[in-house]
Amino acid sequence: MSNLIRNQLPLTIISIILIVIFTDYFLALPPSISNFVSGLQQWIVILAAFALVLGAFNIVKIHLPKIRKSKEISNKLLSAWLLVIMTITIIFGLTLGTTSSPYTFIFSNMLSPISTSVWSIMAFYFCGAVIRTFRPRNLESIVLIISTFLVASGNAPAVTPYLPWYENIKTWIMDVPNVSGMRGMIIATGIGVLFTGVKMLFQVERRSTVGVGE
Amino acid sequence: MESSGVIMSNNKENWLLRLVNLDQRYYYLALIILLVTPIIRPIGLPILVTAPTKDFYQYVNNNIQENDKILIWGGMSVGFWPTEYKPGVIAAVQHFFDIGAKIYWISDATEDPVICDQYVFPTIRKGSAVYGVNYVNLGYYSGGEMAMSAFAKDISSLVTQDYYRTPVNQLPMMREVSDANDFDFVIHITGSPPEWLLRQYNSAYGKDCGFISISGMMGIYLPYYASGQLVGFINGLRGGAEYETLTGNPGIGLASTDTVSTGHIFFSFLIVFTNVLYLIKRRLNKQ
Repeated sequence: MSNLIRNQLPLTIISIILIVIFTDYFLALPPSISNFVSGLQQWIVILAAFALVLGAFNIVKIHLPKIRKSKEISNKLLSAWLLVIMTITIIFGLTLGTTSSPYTFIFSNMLSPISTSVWSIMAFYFCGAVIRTFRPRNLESIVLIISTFLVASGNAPAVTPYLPWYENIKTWIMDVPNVSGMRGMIIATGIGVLFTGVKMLFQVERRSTVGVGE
Repeated sequence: MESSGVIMSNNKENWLLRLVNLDQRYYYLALIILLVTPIIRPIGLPILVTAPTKDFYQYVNNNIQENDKILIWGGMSVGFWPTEYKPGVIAAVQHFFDIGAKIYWISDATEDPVICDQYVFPTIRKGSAVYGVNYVNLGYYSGGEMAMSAFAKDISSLVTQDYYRTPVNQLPMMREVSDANDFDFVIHITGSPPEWLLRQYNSAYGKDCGFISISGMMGIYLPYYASGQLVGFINGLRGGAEYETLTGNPGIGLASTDTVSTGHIFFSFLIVFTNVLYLIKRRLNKQ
């Protein structure tokens, strides 16, 4: 009975929902079933929103112990600051709304410049990667270095107006080897997802319900 | 003479050794100088428009008319807004407003509706466009592809109010749409792969789709563009600058292309230079 409720019932529900949603995508089903699928989709949207709440709890779970147990003052302060700002932002968002002045002040004057600065550091990471890792150790790395050089320099807007033939080289690299490689990856990924879905449908894929060691 | 030759050889080796073991912070400093200088003193280098941007522009010019409905799924994060999304989004949305199309903006990223509210719509020259009649911000809906699917299937089942908590039945333009079939063009602004939108709108409803994305995604979008599933895409800052050139509305994109050029040329030079130094270092080690 326990195995029926813990394992078989969830797997059966998953199989039924998979069949219904899969069929609805390809066929025009009767309104009753189509409305049921719409309802399911709304439930998934709601559940996904709860994932945000879970994320917030996770941040608290990680940083609260750091405040209590960390030996370094800087770690304590940074974690405390994170939790304070997160709490203030959540309170403003929930009580005053995301269009209110305090919320948009935090967004425009704190989140936006800090996020932009963090992502801007990527330029230096790439610079460091080029300095350290682009080395001709074998044939594949030589091809990588040459194609990176051609595509990076070809992507510079100032190069191609003066050297139009250079654009053709870069375009060929992107349109032929890149597209063919990406197509192979996309098709392989699609086949993998298809087979995973079939395995879930026939209850062969059980990791989502069966516990570790069972 | 021999001693001076030895001294010269030693000096040359010392110089080479110093060059080979150059602190990489000098490279960072060079990068900062090359990126900042064109911003302070623009060079005005020309720009060539690439095919994906040109096709996106020509599709909009030839197929989108006044009162046509454009659905924009926004998936932007604020960190990429100033450098990657802003030129393309502002140029494209301004183009839509200039044509007189209706914009339905809905978000699949948490920061996107605020970006739309604070940075996009306030920046656009709207002319006689009125909120709720010509453009609307519907807010964020979680669930990614499932939200896209739910919206495409039945808008009223998912969307009951806009970003400002106005009920949709009070917005005239929302009465004109009930599902994906009512839209003329669907765009996704994102740094993610294009499969979600293509599956739910192009494959399921046959809608023409376009993308406004970050630079690094070009390689991933090209297969879909080559197969015709995408009418075109605006690719990062360079794509935004190209679109500004095509629409005749110079903006932040064109102002930043000099920086893009110097940055790319520097990285290309660095690839060659560091490998030459690496080979010199190997030779010196053998000696």
